[in-house]
Amino acid sequence: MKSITFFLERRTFLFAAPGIALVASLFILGGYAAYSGKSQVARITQAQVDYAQTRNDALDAWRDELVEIESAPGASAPAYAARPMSIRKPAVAPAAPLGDFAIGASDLLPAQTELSAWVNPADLFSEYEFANPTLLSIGRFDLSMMVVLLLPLLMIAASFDIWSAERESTRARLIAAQAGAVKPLIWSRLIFRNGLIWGVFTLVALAAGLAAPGAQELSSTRLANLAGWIGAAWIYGAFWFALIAFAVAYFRRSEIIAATLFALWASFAFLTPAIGGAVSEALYPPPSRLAALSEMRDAKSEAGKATAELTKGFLADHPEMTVSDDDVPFYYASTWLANREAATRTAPILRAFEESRQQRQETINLLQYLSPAVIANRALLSFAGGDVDRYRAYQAEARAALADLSERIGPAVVAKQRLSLAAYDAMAPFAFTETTAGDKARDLAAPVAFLLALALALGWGARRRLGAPLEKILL
Amino acid sequence: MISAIAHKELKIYLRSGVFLAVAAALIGLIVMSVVLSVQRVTAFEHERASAVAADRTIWDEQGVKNPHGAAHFARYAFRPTPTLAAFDPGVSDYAGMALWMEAHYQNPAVFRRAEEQGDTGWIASLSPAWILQTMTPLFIFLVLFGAIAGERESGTLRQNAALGVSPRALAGGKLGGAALSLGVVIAPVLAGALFVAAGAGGTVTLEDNALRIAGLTLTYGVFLLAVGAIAIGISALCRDRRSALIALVSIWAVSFVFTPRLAGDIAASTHPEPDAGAFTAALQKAARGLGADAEAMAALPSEAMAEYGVERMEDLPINFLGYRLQKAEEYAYDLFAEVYARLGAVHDAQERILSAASVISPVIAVERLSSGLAGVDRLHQQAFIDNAEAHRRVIVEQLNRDFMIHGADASGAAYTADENLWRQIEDFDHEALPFRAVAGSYLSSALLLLAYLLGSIVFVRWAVARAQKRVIQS
Repeated sequence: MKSITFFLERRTFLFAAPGIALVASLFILGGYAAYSGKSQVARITQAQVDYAQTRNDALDAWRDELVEIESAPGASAPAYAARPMSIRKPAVAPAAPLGDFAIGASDLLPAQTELSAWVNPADLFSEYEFANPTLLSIGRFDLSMMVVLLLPLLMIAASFDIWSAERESTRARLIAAQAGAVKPLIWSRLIFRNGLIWGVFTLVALAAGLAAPGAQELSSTRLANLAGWIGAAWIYGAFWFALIAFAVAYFRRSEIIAATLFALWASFAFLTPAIGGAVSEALYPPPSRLAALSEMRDAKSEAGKATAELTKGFLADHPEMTVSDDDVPFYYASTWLANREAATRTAPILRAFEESRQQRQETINLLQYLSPAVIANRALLSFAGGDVDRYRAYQAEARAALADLSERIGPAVVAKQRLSLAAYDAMAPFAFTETTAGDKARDLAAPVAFLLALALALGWGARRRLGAPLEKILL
Repeated sequence: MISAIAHKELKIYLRSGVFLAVAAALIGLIVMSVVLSVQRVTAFEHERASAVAADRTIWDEQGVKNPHGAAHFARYAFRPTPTLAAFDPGVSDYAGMALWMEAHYQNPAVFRRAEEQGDTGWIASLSPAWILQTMTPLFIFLVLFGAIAGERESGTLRQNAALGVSPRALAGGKLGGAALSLGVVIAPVLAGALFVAAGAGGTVTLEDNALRIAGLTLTYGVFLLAVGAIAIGISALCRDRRSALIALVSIWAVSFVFTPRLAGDIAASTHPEPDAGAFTAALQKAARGLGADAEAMAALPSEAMAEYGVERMEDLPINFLGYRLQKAEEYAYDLFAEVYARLGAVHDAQERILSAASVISPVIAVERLSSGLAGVDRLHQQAFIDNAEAHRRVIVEQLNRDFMIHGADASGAAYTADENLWRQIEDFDHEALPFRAVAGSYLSSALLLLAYLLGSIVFVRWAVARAQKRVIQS
């Protein structure tokens, strides 16, 4: 029976126009998405390398000046040479290990900045909003998007009439009379057609995953994320497989099955995220960035006004710091003090903003259970590293690194002194900590398990129906 | 004959459970999206009004300082949200809504609301325009897929042909019936959505709102009529309802969902924007323009002396530092314009690819027209940026001139000003572009949409004639 089914499927689907079109479109679109993702990652990586290189070269020159000054203690050095306020360290979030699989938030949120005591944490990320808003509003085409939107559509198109077409053409009775049972035939056809879709796509994804973009190496991190990504995609595919099987088992007419599945696809893929996003925004509005901006400007202005008092206060707290008579202008110290004060004053605003954002996100996360597409999107973006959380984590780490830099150089700046070479060398370069694939999997366990449970329940329902007496399935 | 067929179609649709369910879903969705969008836009405008007031207070109360120091502290320009953004938000969530009008530097607009949308923001964003552009065509396809294919399956197409019903009459009647039945649902909802959106409380009403509303009504009317005609035409080409449904859903997915994204991706890959780091470096270079031009710097004293008719620097009736700062500003104007023009050229090239893709995906043309008419596309965003830049130049010049003139006796930057000067600086007030002034930019999209309508009418007539011929021959 199985070999006959396979033979039939080969003739009626695989080597027929629909099957060839399906496989070809999967290869072409998947290949394009992979190529596009790799090109984007290669471009971002190259830009970041250049960005970091320029700043690291400047830092090396700065350090050479410091070495020269330390090696000749008695000699007079130029006033501005090797001043701690001139330290500008690059802080870059490199492209995610599987960044070519999902553009996600990478074209919207910043992934590079410069750590310098001239800026305070509230202003650390600026001047990155140059992308064309028209393109941003349309969205991009990548492998994750293919899984979430395209593959379910192809699955529906390939499988919706797997049994109803036979029933409508009265071949169903003939098949039942010859084979005795139709259940294996329906399951075999479903598995064959959907297995073909997922087999081809998995091949494309594996090929894309094993060919690391640009100068990146095929690391174990990339492989672990690739495994997670493919696993999440397959579980999403299993859900659609079970849903299609359920519809095929329970509905009789082809157009009803197709219309129901397409309507569900549109609801899961578009309507639920759109309505969920709008309702959650109405119920839990994101914190106002304009209000936060005004508060921060006010705080910075007040900090600036209080600079003279701050200087006296700082030196009163640190009497051991004798102010040297270097020629360096006093605004170095006043800027550092004003920024420190502004950082202190704006920290609660930033914290409140982040907490509000977090609370809102937690509420929105509940909405994912209304749409398998949202769960899949979240899981795929997370493994690919295109999720918003990754970029927020980077921002938090960069702000912490800036605070650390500021604290390390502060006393020397206020005292109009230089750092020692040892103190400078003790400052580690910024390195973004990627969340491990294991941690991501743990974070996603509940929604993905829910999706799997949904798939199993639907599959069980379909199996039960297809196991019903033959006359029920034939009529 | 056409009216008789249209009348019969209307009756059938109004008795159809599928049609009524789809109509109810559509009405529900649009009503929900209007309510939420109006609430959203009203909240945005409330936030903006509060931010403008706070900026004024912070500016006025900045304390005593050198006017050029105040120009560095600077003010913000906040982008107003037009009322029609409640109908179509366009690019407003993806474009910066605040612009820092700082001395020496033309900053980009910052704070994009999309940054707060989370991981699902890219999938879809609920608005009446999105429902009309993306979901309504799907609904129309789901209602009309059996229009001719169903007649063929049930044998009534052959009967009609035998009775001598002409393809023109059948196509016209089918299209008329569909337009009437869908029009009964969509027209009041569209009108209501536009009316409610246009009256969103507390927000900025564009001067030519009536013209824009008329344009939006026409755009969506033409678009949806073309979609209906395509649905009937495809239904006529297919042998049965099942094939028609699959064909129409495939067309919808390819044309309305995937092609715009694919075109956007190709546009971004073919014409990549400069990296943020490189672009910022170009801006910083422009800001240092005069300082880096030794010849121009060296010529400044003689220029100042010539301008004020003196022969010695110490006889200048102005503060030379203030003069130099203002000259540095003016020197950078063209440099900034050049840097941003390069970016604008990249964006234009990207959008040309989108325009080309709109030939196979008319929804791209509709999006362009709709967001333009609602006053929330890139062109309108650029107008906001240009106005803010003009205001920045006025503010900075006002402050530098005060420094030059009133600080003449002070050495260097020792001169300070206070609240009396700060209060003379006016708030930023943005007047949106009148649509007539930019209408030419949307001409190609409008013509394409019109061509789609005409083409779809020709197509439906041809497809019905073909279906009749085949059914008679079979």
